Amino acid sequence: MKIRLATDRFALRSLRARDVSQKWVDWLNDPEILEHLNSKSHNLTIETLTKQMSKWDDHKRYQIGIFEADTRQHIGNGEVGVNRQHKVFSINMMIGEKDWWGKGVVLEVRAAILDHFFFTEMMEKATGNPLAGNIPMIFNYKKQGWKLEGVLLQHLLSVNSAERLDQYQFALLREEWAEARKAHSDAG
Amino acid sequence: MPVEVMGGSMAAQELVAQALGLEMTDVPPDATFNTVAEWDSLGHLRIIMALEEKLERRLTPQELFGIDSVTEVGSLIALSARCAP
Repeated sequence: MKIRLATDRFALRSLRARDVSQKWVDWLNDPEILEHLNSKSHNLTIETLTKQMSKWDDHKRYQIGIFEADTRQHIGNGEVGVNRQHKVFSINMMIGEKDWWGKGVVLEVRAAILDHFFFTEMMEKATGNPLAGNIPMIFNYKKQGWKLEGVLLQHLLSVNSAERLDQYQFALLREEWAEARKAHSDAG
Repeated sequence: MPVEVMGGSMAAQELVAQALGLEMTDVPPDATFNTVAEWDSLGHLRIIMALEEKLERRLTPQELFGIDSVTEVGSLIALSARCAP
């Protein structure tokens, strides 16, 4: 099922081949963005990225575009992987437009994605695996009420050096998210 | 309250305030990332960088996850002071 969601500041929807743009390609080739994802540039082009669009099937894998509500400017993506047998899903966020860094986009957008997959798709657990060095992302997980399940020490080999990197394992259960939502609502 | 913990608390207030571009009076000893508006994800990054510079070491993953308040920052500063040769 294609995703179409709205938050106060953003419209979210499943991306299609016609959404592929030079801007999106540039994000995926930007060393500053890739460093946080421990990902190497694959010198993507509009053509190669367009060919990859078929892997996001809107059933097990979703590539969700984040668009500023007023201008419809594409500012980033959320990738969701769903294990329907075990009712578990993972979320990875990338804010490509750096002007939006530090402005609460991840918290706002991820809340809508959590709502959808917990309460519409009826998933039961969400997971997230940021690198230990991605301090802003760790802040976001903690601020949103995710639980730290463990630290995978020296789990990944850095794409930029011989260093091995630590990775966090965060998780959130549906009932925990419902409680966090209620607490936020009561406080507001 | 032990003297070194009190010192850690004041040092923590100062560190957090400076990292967030605030006055010390804007960051009370019981401040957390939920009570200070400027303590957002990038502010948090500046706090962690300032703390690692002050302690002259990288924080462990567990320490990184634990930091959400001036009290936590103060505990690490005080612990560091106690462990200093």
